[in-house]
Formats: sequence, C-alpha cells, structure tokens
Amino acid sequence: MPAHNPSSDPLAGRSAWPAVVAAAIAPAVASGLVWWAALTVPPTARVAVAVSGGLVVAALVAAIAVAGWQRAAAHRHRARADALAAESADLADRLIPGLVRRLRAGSAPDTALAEVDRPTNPDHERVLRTLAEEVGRGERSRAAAMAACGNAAGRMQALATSMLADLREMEDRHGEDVLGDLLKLDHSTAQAGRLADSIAVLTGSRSGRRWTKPIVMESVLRGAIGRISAYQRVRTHSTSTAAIVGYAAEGVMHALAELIDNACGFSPPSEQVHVYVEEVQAGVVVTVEDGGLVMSDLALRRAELIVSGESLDLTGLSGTRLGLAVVGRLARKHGLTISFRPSSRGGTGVVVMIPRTLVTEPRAGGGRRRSAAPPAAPPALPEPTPVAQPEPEALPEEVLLPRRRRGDTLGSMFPPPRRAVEFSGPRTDAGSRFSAFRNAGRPTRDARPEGHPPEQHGPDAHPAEPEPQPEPRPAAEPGETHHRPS
Amino acid sequence: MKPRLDDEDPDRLYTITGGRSRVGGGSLDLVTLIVSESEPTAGMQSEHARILRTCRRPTAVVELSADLGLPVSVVRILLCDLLDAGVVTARHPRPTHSPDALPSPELLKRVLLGLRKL
Amino acid sequence: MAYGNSDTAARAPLRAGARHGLKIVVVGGFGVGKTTMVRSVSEIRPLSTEETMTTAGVGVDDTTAVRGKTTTTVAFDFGRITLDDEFVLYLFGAPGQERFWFLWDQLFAGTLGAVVLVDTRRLEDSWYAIDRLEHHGTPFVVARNNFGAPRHTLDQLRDALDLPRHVPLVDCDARRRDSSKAVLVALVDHLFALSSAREPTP
Repeated sequence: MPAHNPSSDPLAGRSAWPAVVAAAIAPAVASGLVWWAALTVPPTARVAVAVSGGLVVAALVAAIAVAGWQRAAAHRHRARADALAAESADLADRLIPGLVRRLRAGSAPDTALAEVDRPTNPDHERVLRTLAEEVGRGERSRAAAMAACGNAAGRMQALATSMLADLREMEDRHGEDVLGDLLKLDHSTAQAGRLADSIAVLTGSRSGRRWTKPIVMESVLRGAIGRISAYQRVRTHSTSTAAIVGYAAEGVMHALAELIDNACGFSPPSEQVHVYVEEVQAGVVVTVEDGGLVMSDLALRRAELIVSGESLDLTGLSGTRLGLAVVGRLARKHGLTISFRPSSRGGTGVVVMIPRTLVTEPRAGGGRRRSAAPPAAPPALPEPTPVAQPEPEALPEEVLLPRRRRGDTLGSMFPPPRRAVEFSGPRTDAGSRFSAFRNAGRPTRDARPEGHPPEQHGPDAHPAEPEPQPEPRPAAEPGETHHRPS
Repeated sequence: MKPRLDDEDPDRLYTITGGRSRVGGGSLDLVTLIVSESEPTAGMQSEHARILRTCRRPTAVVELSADLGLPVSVVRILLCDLLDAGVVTARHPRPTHSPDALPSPELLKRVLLGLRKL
Repeated sequence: MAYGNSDTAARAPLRAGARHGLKIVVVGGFGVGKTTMVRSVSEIRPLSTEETMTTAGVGVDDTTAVRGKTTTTVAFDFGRITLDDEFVLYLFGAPGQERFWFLWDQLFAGTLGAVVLVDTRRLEDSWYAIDRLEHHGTPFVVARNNFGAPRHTLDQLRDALDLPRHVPLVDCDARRRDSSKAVLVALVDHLFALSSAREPTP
C-alpha cells in the first residue's frame, strides 16, 4: 500500500523547516535589539524600553509562532487533498475496473470485493460495495437470461432433431402423394432447428447434435444447404471425398449454413449461389460465391472482424441478423478461418478454411444411411425345430377357429365389398350361420365362437379400426348388424 | 418412432432430390431392371454415381432403394435424372397387364420351370 | 448390422441378360413367417426397404414378441429368385394389416399373385389381406405356416376362412426351402390353371 499518511510525507516536514528557523531566529534577533536598546537609552527610559521591547518581542514570537503553525496546517491540508485525489484516481483507474472485470467473469460481489484492494477511505469502500452489488445483480440476471435461452434452445434442438427423425421415417413409409408435403415440413423443421442451434451457440450452451461418424463433404454441404430457405438456389461443386470428423461436423455445417444463407440473402433471388470445395495441404477450403452486391472494403473488414470470433460481445446483435456472430463463435470453437473478398461472380466470396485436424477419411465402406438388411442373419437356416410356444391355457383337443366374414375388414373403405358380403351371405355354410346366430346382438364383429380364448385377439390384430359399434341398419338387411363395422 | 441417431446422415431427402418429390412421365415399377450405360463421372452426385456402379449388372428399382437406404419414390426421381441423361436404361416388366388380366400360360410355364429348378 | 459396405458384393448380381422382373407378394400378419419364407427361397439375403423389425427368436420372425411389439416401421422386405437367363422373380414380404394399405398399390401392381401366410393362432391377422385380394381380384393361395403340429384339418381352416374351393390351401414350414418352394409352385400352378381356363375365350 502506497504511503498516503500526511504525517509521513517528507515534503510536509521539509516545508515546515523555514518557519521553525524563522520562528527561532526572529525572537532572538528582536530580543538582542531590545537588549542593546535598553543599554543604549538613558537609565530613566531603560525600564520602559525594556518592558516595551519585551512586549514587542513577545508579540513577535507569538506572531511568528502563529504564522508557522498556519503554514504547517496549510501544508497538511494540501497533502491530504493530494492524497485524496490520488485515492480517487486509483479507485477510478484500478479498483473499479478490476472489480467489474471480476464480476463480469462471474465472481460473486463479496468474492470480487475481497479480491481487490480495500480503499482506506470508507466512502470509497461504500462506493465500491454499492457498485459491486449493482453490477453483480446485472450480471446474475444476464446469466440467468442466457441460461434460460440456452436451455430453451436446447429443448428446441432436441425437438427438431426428433421431428426430423420422425419425418424421415414417414418419408420412407409414404408414397409420392404425401412425400412432397413431408419434404416441405422437413425443410421447415430443419430451418427451425438451425435457429435453435444459433441461439444455443450465442448463449454458449451446447451446439446441436453430435454425429458419431465422420461426415463426407457432400453430406456436410447438403446438411448445410438443407437448413436454409433458398436451398434450391445453391449449386455445389465438389469432387472431394474427404470427411469432417464427427464432433466438428455439426459446427462446420452450421457455420456454412449461415454463410450460404447470407450469400443468398445478399444476392437477387434470380441469382444462384455457388459453393466450391477444394482440398489443400492445410485442410479443406470451402468457397461461397454470390452474384449480389460487392461489399465495401469497410463492410468486408467489419464482417471479417465479426466472424473472426475475437469479440464475443453480443451488444450489437439484432434478432434478424444472428448469422455472422454465430459463425464467429463456431469459427473460434473449431479453428475455422474465414475471410471475405470480392467474388469473381460479381458479388462477395467467402472463403472458409477447415483445418486439417478436422478433416479425415470417410468411415471404411462409406456405408450410407441406415441398415438395409436384417441384423446379421445366420447364413444357414436354422434347423426346423418346433417352436416352443407356451399356450395361454390348456386348450380343448380341437380349438375352434375364428371365422372370417368375407369383406368384413374392408369396412366402409370399399363400398362394393360390403355388397359382396351381403351377396356372399347365403353362400356361407351352416356353421358360419350358426355362429352368426349365436353372436347376433353381441357388440363384436368377430363372430367368434364361444370358448375361443379372447387373448388370441392380440392388440395388433386390428389396430387401426375403431371399436366396433352396433350400428342400426335399415330393416332391409336383417341379421347383418352384428358384424357390421362402424 | 425412435430416432436412430447413429444411423442417420445429415442429408435431408429434399437436398438429394433438389426439392422434387415426384416425377412426371411413366413411373418405374419396383421390379423394373435398371442397367447403366456409362460410368460415373467426377463431381457427380454420390447417389447417381452409386446407382451407375451398382447397375453395371441389371438391378431392380427396389434393390436400389434398399442399397441406397432411400424411399422408392426418391430413387425413382434419381433414376429419372439418369434416364434423361441417357446414362441408364430401364427394362420394364413385360407383363404390364391390368389387375384383372392374367399372365400368359407361356410365361407361367417359364416361371414354373425356374421354380422347380430351385 | 450395417448393410451396404460393399453394395454389389453383398449379393450376387443378376445375369447381364436379365430382362424381366416378376413379382409375387407374401402377405400375412406380424410374426407369421413372411420374412422366413422369403429368406428360405431367396438367392439373396432378404433386403428391406426400411428398418427391419427387431427379431426375437432365430429364423422365425418374432413369434414370441408379437404382443409386446411396438416397432412398426418396417415397410416390406424382399428376396430374389433367378428363374432363367431373362426372368427374375422378386418375392415381397408385406405386412397384411390394414395400416399398411399404402404399400399395397405399388406392391400389387403387376404382381403375378399372392401367398397369404396364416398362423392358426392368429387367424384374424389374415382376414384383411384375404378381403383385399378378393376385392382386387388378385389370384392367391393360402399357406398355413405350421408352428408345431397342426390342430386343425385344412378343411376346417378353409371353412373358417370362408375360402372358395378353387383357392388352393396348403400346409408349409416357411423355414424349409422345399416347403416354401412348393407354396410358390402351388401359386403358379393355380395361376396357370386360371390362365389356361381363360385363354380360349380372350
């Protein structure tokens, strides 16, 4: 701690010396003069002179003493003022910045206060404490807001991921009639997922999904392009067979998506955006070229600064233009180098350098997509042995089979077979008529003979059909109501 | 429906078809046999290249679908690109009979003969 | 589990002269043995156009897990039989339940005919398939896949299924190649009879 104690100020001591000397010399000289005057004046006046002289000397001594004391006090005050000024400067230049830095870094107010020097001035200490509490409160609410956003983004990411997986399955299961609609939903979901990814990246929470295998460049590009709205304007040019390591693939795709989206956004809708891939010594270079406006030098530098990831400040962020800030974060995370330059196509070119450490070979075999074969079936068929199937209960010697009623299962989907049912009615044999009779009035359409174990109607048997309802039918068709599906 | 994350790829189907979901013209049957007429070229979409490699010997549409792990309708779109480019040919199933019509006895005889040799 | 690490080597390619693809559809409920039948006669390991269901039990598709089954993502699987230099027969194993109706159009267009595979313990699972086939006029045979000793005579089964006399009804063991082959032969014989009967009166 630097010396601020006025008593120990050497200057203050030094400045007091002349006063002391003067205070010592002046009375001595004055008393000498009085003594000399008392001797030189006639004896009659000697007493008066001596007395008055003594008084003058005494007054002089007093005056000198007072002056000296005042001068010393003035010095003391100036020193005190200087010390106070220095203290304030230290508070402003050192203590407060240090405190705020600690608070911004996440320290609690008390911890931060303990870590910075304690001002001697109690007022300064109060200022510091108030400041610490206020900034701390601001930081806490900012962190809480970021965490909440990050958390919500994470849930949105998870939702988008599972929706995409579901959609992919539906796309497999449905024909061309539905495929177009599913693809549209797929595309919207992918874009929503990207927005969630962006929020996650900006709030510093975990980025989207992790790929467990290297992703080939073609898929990286398509993964990126699939997340932007104008994907049909993008043309890719790649002969690369390289792959991006699984843990970085998502980040690279996301960064490329933002840059390609940017390129689409800043060029006329009629213009294509071209993406080139080139393998170089240092890694893989992806160039995004648009034919839009040429960015000014200033704008290029500004964009480069944002994507450099140097500044993590979000204050300049606007809701509609998250892209470059996201790219900056991702670039910093994965060591991507991004530069902007005028494009040979007339617009802007963005060059993304993916470092060699993220580049690998595709997984051996390049097995694309899901397994297409049953899990490793034994090469030889198993010996046909009776399958031990414990029956639910002891069954009678001969189990009655449930009876099919022709066309029944088609229900209302196919009106003609309903007539077929009616026509086929007379052809059914006595047994089926018998069972129909026995089941008449039952709310089941199965016409199941008695004694048949109901467990045999597994839950899978007719899952898509609603519960059979007894349905009033015109009297023209008697005897059919019992097995008519609703 | 459980997402099978490990098996998945980042390619969405619309990026594979360029946004198309159906193709005009005569559709390809599941058992239409596809034969390549040329070799893949550099920079070709990987699915196209793979179809061309697989179809050096005749391969049914449904087999390609299983190989590529893509829905039959998407495979049809990819095949139409290749057919339009003239790099594959299609051998359509001959008995394109209406649902009611039956295959000819001659055809059935060949089928029986083939089955009995199994 | 990954298929396709060597897409063409995983199965024998067709002969260069292969020209005509034919279709037969094997249809039936879950666990009735469709995949087993396709596998037993196919020259390639059956391929799936979609994720294969979890297989419980070896060789027979999920007879034990039928009731607990929740995975329904399977579309259809198929196998292949090279009949001669020009003709190739594709066998499709298709789930017979109503909820898979969307598959039927593309599966049944141009098919020679169908095999309805039934398990007498879950006979109802076959009803929808038989109704659809009758509705569309697609020729078919019914094969009972025997899990253990049959408990009913074929006549009882025919009666329960309300099958017309002319529709062949046979027994089989889907795990055996010769047995599955006999079912296919029965179908083609049936088709031949129908076709020959119709031939003189075009």
